[in-house]
Amino acid sequence: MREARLFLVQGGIPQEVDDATLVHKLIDQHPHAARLIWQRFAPMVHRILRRSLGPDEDVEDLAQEVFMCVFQKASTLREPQALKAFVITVTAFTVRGELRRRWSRRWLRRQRPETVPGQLVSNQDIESREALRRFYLILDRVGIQDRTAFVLRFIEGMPLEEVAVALDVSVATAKRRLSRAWDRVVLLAERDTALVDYISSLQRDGACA
Amino acid sequence: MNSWEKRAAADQAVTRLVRIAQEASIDDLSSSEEDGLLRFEAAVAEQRVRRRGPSKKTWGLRAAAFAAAAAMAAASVVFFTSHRSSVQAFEVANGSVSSGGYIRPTAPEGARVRFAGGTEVLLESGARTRVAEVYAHGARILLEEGKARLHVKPLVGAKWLVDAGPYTILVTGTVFDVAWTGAEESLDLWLREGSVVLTGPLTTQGFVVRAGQHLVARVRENLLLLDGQPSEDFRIRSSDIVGDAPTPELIAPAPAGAAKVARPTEGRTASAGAGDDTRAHSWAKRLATGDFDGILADADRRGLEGLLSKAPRAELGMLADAARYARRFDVARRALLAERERFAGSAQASEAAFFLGGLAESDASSVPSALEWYERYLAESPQGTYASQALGRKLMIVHRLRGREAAKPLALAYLNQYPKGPYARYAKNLLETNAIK
Repeated sequence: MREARLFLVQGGIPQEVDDATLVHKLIDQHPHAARLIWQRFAPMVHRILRRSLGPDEDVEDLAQEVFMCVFQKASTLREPQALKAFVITVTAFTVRGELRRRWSRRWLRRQRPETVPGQLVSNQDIESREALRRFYLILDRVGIQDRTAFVLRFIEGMPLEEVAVALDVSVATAKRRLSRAWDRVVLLAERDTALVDYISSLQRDGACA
Repeated sequence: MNSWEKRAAADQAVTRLVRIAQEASIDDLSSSEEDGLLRFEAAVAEQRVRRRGPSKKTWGLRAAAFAAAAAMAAASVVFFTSHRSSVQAFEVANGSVSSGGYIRPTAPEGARVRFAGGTEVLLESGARTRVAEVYAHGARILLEEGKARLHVKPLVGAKWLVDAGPYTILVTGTVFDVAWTGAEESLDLWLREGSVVLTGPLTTQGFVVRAGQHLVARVRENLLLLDGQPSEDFRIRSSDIVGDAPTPELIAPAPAGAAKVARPTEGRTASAGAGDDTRAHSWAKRLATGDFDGILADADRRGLEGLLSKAPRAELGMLADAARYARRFDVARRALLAERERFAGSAQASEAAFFLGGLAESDASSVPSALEWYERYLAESPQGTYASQALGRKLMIVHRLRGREAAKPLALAYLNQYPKGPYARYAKNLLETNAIK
């Protein structure tokens, strides 16, 4: 029989510890390091996942994938102070993997993206929800790489350089993808007259102010 | 509208849609997303255990056990009730299930709940259980009273949670028994295979319990103990559970040393006598292996008075921990008071106030002083690690000493700050009872 052991919770890590120290603590297997990394980045990771896949998507499992990957790969970080950028990169790659899986599933079922399941998490009006649903249907028809770039730059509001790092491409390539993605989204939006009319009505009513 | 105007309108529409998408994704995490932290910590703990060296599973024996269990299950005549959810179905044998997922054993030998993914739960007669939530791969099970044995099938992305009183057990792939006695606020957890992470009073940071360990949590006594005491067999055929055939390792009686570690009051002499072997180990290592008596014996040898006045902060903290776990409350109290006096203003000194509250609670005559310590801790560390527990304990003490009306504002404050905290149910009950009156 295995000897009974008591695993005591050791002293915590200060919340304000910098990213580099946090990475070192994680490598040293400090019992609180994983928790602190989760607490620090979970809102951001969940937000990027939701913005990438749709705000009502269940992103919990994907978030677990992201954090497990960060946990496993943290020791390979050449610049531990760049932990946040690393987490964003892992999140972006996870998003791309998930979009690929979804695309494969749709292709196998010979289905076009039709619906965005579930209800929205925010307190938006019905029209906004419908607009958002149509918007994510449009994004479903944009290439995976371009879509990820679009979400990070325009919805997440990341600087171009950070988008390039997250996608592991040059700034020029990132810029090209963004331009292509924007044009594609605008083109598809233009074809959705109901969507454009709705947005125009919002602007007429001053709702965009 | 010409093509240029159409393009401009579409540009504006996309800009607006981007803003709607930004507003739709709020930063707050849902309750299930917050639970993700526990899942992550459990996965990290599992990974670390695997890195240290995986135990070899006897898959042949397990397959044989599975075949035997399947054959017996096929041969037995049981009454199945099916409760289907949109996500995952589960079946109850020898028991009734309400539409709310409330399960009650109807046979004296207990009931069995079997989930679609292969996870099974045995319930002892008299156990009160509810399947509160069912996920794609997993469920949240509330054990309101009694004892249950779970065999959780390890699946990627699965989430199994067991709530027992104020405790939450996060389960990966594992076999364990759990018992909760509400009247005594007492939890017993026997790990037969794998590991789980326990959170709740005294374990807010999460406590990993591994195979062969038995954890005892007594909320009222502020007590948390680990030993190797095996669980008693269930009356319902345990062979119904896949992999339930216990390995010799698990059914063997706990070695004397292990029991002594876990029952400090019994093992003090033996541990102290083993000083030669453990002297080389640091106090931190001794704490990690549960050798509290060794630490206390060492402290006695070195001179307790001197340690209390001169030991570094970390050492003083370890002494206080060892004394608390060994139930040497006199030593623990002195070490904690020394921490507060010598390292006033530090986080450790603040946490010492919380632990002093717990020690005071263990003596019925000192309960008012426990209240003072909790209040002091909350004043010093309103966002501290133990803030939710301190507020919860304060709520219970005020309720006990001054009655419901006095406790009501505290219950509201607790629910406001920690709506899912370990004392939330207590606070809700208190408020609801009040409302009826």
